Amino acid sequence: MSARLLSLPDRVGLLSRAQAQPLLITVGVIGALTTLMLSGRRESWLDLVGAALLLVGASSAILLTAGLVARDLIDGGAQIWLQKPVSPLAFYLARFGEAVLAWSSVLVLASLAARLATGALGWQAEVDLLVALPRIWLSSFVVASIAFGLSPWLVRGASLATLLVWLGGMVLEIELAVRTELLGPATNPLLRAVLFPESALDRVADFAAGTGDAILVPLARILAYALTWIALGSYGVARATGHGGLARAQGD
Amino acid sequence: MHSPTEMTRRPDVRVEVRDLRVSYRRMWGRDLALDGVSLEAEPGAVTAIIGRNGAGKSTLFRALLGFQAPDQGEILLGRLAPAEYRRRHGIGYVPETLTYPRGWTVAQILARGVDLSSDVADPGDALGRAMERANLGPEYFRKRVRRCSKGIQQRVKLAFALTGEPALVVLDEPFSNLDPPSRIALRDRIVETRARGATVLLASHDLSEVERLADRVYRIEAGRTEPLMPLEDGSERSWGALESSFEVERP
Repeated sequence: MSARLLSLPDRVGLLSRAQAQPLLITVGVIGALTTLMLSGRRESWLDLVGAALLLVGASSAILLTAGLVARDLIDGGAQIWLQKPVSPLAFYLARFGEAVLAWSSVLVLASLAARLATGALGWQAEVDLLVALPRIWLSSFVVASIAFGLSPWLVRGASLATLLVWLGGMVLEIELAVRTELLGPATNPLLRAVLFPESALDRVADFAAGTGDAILVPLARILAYALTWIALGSYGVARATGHGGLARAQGD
Repeated sequence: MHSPTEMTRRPDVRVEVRDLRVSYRRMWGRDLALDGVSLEAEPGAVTAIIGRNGAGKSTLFRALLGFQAPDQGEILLGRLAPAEYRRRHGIGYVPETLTYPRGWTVAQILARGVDLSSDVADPGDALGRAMERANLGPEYFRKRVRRCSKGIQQRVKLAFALTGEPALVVLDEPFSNLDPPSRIALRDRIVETRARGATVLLASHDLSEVERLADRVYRIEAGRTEPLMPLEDGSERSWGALESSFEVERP
């Protein structure tokens, strides 16, 4: 393989630029709302800023990943990229990787901006904001995986479907944690396996903050959940680009 | 001119299509697009496909690229099925319609083409040559491709298709939207591509260009191919004969 003309930062930049407008609007709106809500709530600023950063990470992940494959199939982008000697699956997994780097950069920049701003105001937190980052990043990664899993299957409404799977699964998972006694021990782990791994993410956050001791099991559950969605997306790519699926996707 | 530094030599590829039948699934039943298409295309020659709008030329090309599965029949590119050939060697393809990705400049599109063409020896040189092939000066280097005219976009499509110098080039209406100088430049590119031994398939409504370029011509009518040139006795047909092969319904 020869040296590449487009470096990784170039490719990440191109992906971000394609969604620059919605990204800036989303980050701007979340930032403005957070600033408004912070007035008079100094004591709980860490929770609020943490929630705002989670929203920035997850919404950037959705914007950069939802419809990644289907959009290409419909617009004809797949016709141009896939004429080259490249495996469709490898190509779209690489695009997913570029998207992960792009929203991770947005998240890190937003976190640094929030830390600088709260530091300038002289607000000291018991737990540093950056300690919350691993949990926020992992949550966003799971959301991105859902978006990638759905991306070959849905052209319109891919972002909304991702939001529904994320928020719906999160609410159900929290409900499940509260009402464990309503479910038998056999169904409980099964349901937990298909729902958004909110409790596992909380345990990662506890570990990062030094208040929890288990990391491997929750981390394995989070990764298994994300990889299942990535596998669904990969199957969708193979199905859409093999055996004449490309022409079907273009509506011929 | 072929640049020896751009790529390692690809094998010649002979295209064989036998009794190809392609249909599209509709809400109720299927629409038959191709019904028994057979053709052959040789390396170092331009094989043209002519036919009315909706005759199935683009469908045939998509099947040749492995983007469209046939219901019946066989396509061999060398000894490989289309999708396998495309994945291993790549096929230069200029689709009739295409929406470029948002935010990309002309140079970035072509650079991606060079990057995806796995065995380019000197990527920088290949990018320069791609810009040259499209007759695009430095002023287009940073220009967003979606903001370019349709003619420029068409030239970028061709330059992208030719990055990596593929052994098989499939051109679907490449002359559309081109001004006269660009048409001449495109004609030169096609002649160059043929001269380096590539197999060129060309679909065009422009019979004068077909006459200038094609070594072999097929017409698609009612989903079937009919060889128009050369004739069975090996003699050539004139442009007028190609034109008169279409029965025009006059009011």
